[in-house]
Amino acid sequence: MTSTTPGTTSVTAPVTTQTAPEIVARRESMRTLALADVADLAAAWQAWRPAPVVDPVRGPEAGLVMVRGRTDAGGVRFNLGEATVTRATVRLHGAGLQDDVLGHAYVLGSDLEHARLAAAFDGLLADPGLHDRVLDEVIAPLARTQAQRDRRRRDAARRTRVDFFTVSREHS
Amino acid sequence: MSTAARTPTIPAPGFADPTRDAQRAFRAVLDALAHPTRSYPLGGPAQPPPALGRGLGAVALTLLDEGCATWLAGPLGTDAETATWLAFHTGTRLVTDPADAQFVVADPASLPPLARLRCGTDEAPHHSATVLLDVRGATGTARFSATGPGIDGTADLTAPWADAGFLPQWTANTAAFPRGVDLLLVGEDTVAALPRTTRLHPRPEGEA
Amino acid sequence: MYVAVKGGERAIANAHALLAEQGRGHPELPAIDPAQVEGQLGVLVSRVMTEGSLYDPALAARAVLQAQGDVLEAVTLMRSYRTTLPRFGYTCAVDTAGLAPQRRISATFKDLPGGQQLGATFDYTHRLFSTPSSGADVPDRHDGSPDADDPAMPRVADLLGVGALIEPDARPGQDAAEPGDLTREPSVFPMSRAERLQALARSDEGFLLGLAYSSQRGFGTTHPFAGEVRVGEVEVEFDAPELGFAVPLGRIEVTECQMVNQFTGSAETPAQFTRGYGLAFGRSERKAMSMSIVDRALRGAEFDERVASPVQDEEFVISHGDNVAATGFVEHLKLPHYVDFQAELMLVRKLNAEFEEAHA
Repeated sequence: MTSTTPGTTSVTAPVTTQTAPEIVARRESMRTLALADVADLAAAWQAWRPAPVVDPVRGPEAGLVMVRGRTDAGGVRFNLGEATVTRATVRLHGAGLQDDVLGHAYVLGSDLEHARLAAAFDGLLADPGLHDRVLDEVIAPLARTQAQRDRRRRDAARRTRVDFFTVSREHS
Repeated sequence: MSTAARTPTIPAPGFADPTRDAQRAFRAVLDALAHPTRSYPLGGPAQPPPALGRGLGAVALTLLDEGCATWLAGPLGTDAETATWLAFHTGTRLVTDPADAQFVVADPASLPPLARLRCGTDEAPHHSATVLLDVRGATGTARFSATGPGIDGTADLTAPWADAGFLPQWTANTAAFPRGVDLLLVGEDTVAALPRTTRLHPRPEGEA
Repeated sequence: MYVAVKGGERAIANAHALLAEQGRGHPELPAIDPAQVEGQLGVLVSRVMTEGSLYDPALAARAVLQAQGDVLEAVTLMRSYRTTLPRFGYTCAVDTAGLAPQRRISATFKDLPGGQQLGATFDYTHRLFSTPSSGADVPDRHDGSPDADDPAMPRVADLLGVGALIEPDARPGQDAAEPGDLTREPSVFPMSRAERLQALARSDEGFLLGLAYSSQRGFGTTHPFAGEVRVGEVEVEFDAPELGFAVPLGRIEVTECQMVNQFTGSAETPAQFTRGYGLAFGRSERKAMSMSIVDRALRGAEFDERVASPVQDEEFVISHGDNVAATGFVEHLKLPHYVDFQAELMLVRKLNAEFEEAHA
């Protein structure tokens, strides 16, 4: 394994050369990591062996994004207001990794540790040898937990559906 | 390397302690502007792009952000590592015309005529450019006497970075007050400043 | 003019200590944890986020506690805090029809696709005090199996849009220009509708409620129908420059209101319904509804309406809706004005003396 010296790494192809399916998959795992409970992330990181070395490249640091909506829901964009975001970029190396990898995370809220852990897992996903294991052992369980939570919320909301009007329906 | 498609670049880290290190560098720049010609020590990031160096790296991390436009002059302008590093850590927008930039990073050889940079207006003199001049390794022999706010009487300025054309340009710059550009003279580990309020006078070779 | 005053450090420190003591309440009772505020005072937290123009429920809860429940003080804390943070950029526009809403009602169509869904609402409560109980104060939920399917919930306005009975929302090329951002450029009147909506989103709920009410009562022309009110979570995505694609950041809860107004048409346009729009952070139904009424009222010039009432006056509404600016100017009157007042006092004495001389 060769360790890349960060300061002298040459710049090669831009990230946008990624093919679409890779982006789709990475967006999905980033969504899961962002929505995860930070305690679940911490537990998953504790359980991950062998543990790689995590060097900070940028952050974790708190900042803002301006949230945009659309006029009349579908028209021109407008600036609704800001939201706190925490971001982190880490370099992973050492145990179990084929090569140095970079992990990124942007997560709503002010929890620095959430961004750091999400970036670490994003980095692990970049390693071809570990990719599938991260998906199975970390991403999939987190996604299942979130799906269950969403289901419960949705069911509770659907129970408040109004059907006490019994006059004839216009759209049935 | 199999991960190349996904992470072609691993940018070097910025400040080790972003808040405190940026505060220290900001303080150094503030002191330098308050006491023109005086040099203040500057602590930089451990692994800046070599073309930029520690000093410029520190000033860039401290002053640049998403809201400003920066122009990189000369060889820096074509150094992809510097561009990536600056964009990644500061979010600054890199522009191709120095007249559009709030910050100009240049070495003495690539510094454009000051008159070509933004100098603000009488109503909004702050809409002007700040030049971060890379003075590392400069070997000229120019020396000036400096006067103006922040200088008690007269200060001597050794300016190895100044060529023969600099003094008339600077004189014009100070004459345009309140418009004008400000100059930060950034070495490997130091920063000094020439704000637009500092007037320079030639100082004959060898005069004490 | 203000004069600098010096001294008073000890008195100020003691005043702050007294404030903290008052805010703590009875020392033998447990202090409120911010997580409790976030969980149990969600509507208040929503308001602080909306008017503070910063989505972060945990921070807003801390602000509410530190401000001892003073909404404007909490809003000011949020606004101050945001100035210390770097802005990473702008998100992609949120898709308010994208996720299943918690609440979705329409006053215009009884049986709309996807159905009416009350969600967590104060509507239909009896506004009677519930009996204080020892913790078990969540009423039983009456079971009833939720639909197995997740029906699509198209926007109500889109139902009208099909027959061109309502003005279109989307227009070709609408994303060509970046919308103005009032946090970056100063307000200049007249504003674009996008800039107005940004200003209204952070405006004081009470101020907008009063204006909306005035419009309904006749000081203005707007007496609309609530086409749709939605409360739910939306996904937020951000185009991270170093990644080259939109990164999902998580979800935020928003309340949306689309008002539908009658418009009789003109020589060029057939009669059709027009729109007013409201969007706010969290559970902010009253705010979103008021905002949508005021938004429509401010579109008078677009529809050649007679502009005669305060709610239709853009500069009046936008300039006075920001409660941080408003309270700053009102409350600054308690700062030392000793020199101003001395000057006025001397003037009044002089005028009085002249008056008495003239009448002597």
